[in-house]
Amino acid sequence: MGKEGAGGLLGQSKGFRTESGIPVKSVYTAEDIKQVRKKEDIGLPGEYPFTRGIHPEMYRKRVWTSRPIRGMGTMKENIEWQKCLLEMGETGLGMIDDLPSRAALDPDHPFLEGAQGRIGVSVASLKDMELFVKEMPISELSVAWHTNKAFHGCAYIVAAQKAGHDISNLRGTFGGTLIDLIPAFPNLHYLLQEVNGHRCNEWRLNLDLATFILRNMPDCNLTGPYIYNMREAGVNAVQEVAFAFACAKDEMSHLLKRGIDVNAIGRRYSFTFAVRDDFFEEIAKFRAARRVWAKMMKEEFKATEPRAQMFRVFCHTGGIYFHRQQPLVNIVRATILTLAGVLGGTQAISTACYDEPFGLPHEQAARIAERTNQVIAHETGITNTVDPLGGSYYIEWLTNEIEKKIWNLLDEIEERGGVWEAMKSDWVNEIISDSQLRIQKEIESKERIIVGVNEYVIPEEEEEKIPLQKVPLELSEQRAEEIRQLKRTRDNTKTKKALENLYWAAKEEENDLIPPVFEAIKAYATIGEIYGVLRMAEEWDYDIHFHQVQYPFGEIEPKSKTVGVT
Amino acid sequence: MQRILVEHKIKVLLGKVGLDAHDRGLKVVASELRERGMEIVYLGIYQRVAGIIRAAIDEDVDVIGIGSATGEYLVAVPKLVEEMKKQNMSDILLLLGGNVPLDDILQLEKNGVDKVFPTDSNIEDIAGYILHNVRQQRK
Repeated sequence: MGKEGAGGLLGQSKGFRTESGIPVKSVYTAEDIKQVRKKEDIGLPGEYPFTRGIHPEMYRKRVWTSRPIRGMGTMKENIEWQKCLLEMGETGLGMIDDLPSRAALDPDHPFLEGAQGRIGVSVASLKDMELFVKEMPISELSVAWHTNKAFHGCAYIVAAQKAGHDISNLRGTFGGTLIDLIPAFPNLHYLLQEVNGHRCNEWRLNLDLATFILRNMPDCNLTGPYIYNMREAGVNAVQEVAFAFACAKDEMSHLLKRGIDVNAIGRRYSFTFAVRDDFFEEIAKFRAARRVWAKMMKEEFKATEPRAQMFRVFCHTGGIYFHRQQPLVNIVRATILTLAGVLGGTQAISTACYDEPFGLPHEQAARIAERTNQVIAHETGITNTVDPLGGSYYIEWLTNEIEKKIWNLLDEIEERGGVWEAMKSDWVNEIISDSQLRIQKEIESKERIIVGVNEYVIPEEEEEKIPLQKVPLELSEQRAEEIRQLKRTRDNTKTKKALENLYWAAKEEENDLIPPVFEAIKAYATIGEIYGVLRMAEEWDYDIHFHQVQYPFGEIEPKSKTVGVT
Repeated sequence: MQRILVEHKIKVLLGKVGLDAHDRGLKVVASELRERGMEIVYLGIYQRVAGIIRAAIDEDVDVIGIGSATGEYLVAVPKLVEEMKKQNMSDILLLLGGNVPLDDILQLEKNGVDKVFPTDSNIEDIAGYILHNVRQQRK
């Protein structure tokens, strides 16, 4: 890495390069954007290739959705928390589940040690969603479940139907591909299997849910790849876009194989990106992403409707960029990141809270995150015009550079055998771990200045004490007991039959899993039971990762005895 | 320092407890300690107390380092402390790193954790602490 400009009074610390490594000149002029075509490359917002934004009026018509990703405790605590956030002014519900739900483990699983409800809300059965649907204004707000598990979306739909909602009117974002998880869990052989083009039942259920939503819920979008996780783990802005699109192509090709029209998919497809610390690169990233996606959808996938060529994005200000020392400084960071998302033309934002390095947000920190969005929306004049940075020599040049690099990386992924192979390979893991180590070394050598961490440091005893959120430890056991009780008191004959129906349905590749999964959910089968049975149908272990829990109803009855009973 | 490294490499076991998969910090610590001449036994994610104890005994480590970003240390670490006492492992340093607020740090350091290095700790401090204290143990 070039040393030019390292050090310096104002802390220009990592040389004049963008975060992804693109060398940056001292000044940009018309010469640098000679190759940029005014109409075809930049154009107007709302017009192909949507570089300047997907809507002609953008925030003039409607300000971005503030949809903070929050969740904690049992559904009861979570509902109180969500109501509190709504009072602060959030405009969309964005729930995150806890780690057991994400691993499809029931709260009473013996592996769990205090993880229930700790970093998100515990979701384990229809009971949770019934409470959510009853207490929250779901017909007025869009609802997003940030998880890789289709169970949550399925249980939410079942609960909404049961409460008398017409699901075709509900707004929200559901689904999710699992491919972006592979670098985080390379040892999960179950997830990585692919036999004759067929992947595990967990994938299949996600695709079945996506299909169900496309066919029955016209106001809901598909989550698409949750690439934020990879970005936080260590890929850069260019890699984030390329891997997200490669994952999306993979998911879309599976949906297309089911005979769904590409326009129907494209109209409803969305992404979750991170916003990180190189301000202009992040803005250019979103602009470049819109251009690449539009071209890909139009030229490669032959989507003909403009709406099906639009890159929709929900962005999450990066938590890894927040620091423990002098935590109030994180409010400044959150403001800059949120601003980058807005200037980049995002559809929705989750602004991380300044107490991020300590745990779940405290009410006060969550309120400030909300106020950050509100100040930007109402007090800055930024919403007066669309893509105010459009035409800037630097921004247009950088948008172009990033676009080129995205295409190159997409080609490289193809050359490596496609995203499925690439994700499993050491290549991606090395990209991630190399970047982690490089950044750490830059911090240690002060080549990279982090205010309050390696420069402008204050003594530990002068650190301000901030209020912190505490999730009581007793909650884990309470939650486990709640589920034990559910398993004792539900109509277990019905649950058993529904699970066996699911088992036999899953055995046949051509069956849609949604009807039997909905039936199982209605019979209060839990998340652990449903995923366990889906794996048994593939001759994997019921409790695949931990081998501590058995299928609760003994042997599965032969098909003849179970079919058609529910 | 060099003489000690030649005689016996310091062996550090690193793992994460429970379901927490935020392993970015722990991987960085592993690489950095390895570069400083220590031997790393990297257990990675999805560990439980019993497995950590078994690996620590089998591998005869000097240090156990647990990373946690999700608060799962609240249950696992006190269990680990208790189990280490039972197994007479008082000569092994127990370190915790990750998202740990100050109140918990004070509590844990009073109750058997040798040192907590919260998010954004300096690697030099971690390596220095290990070098100094393992040497003390061996005297």
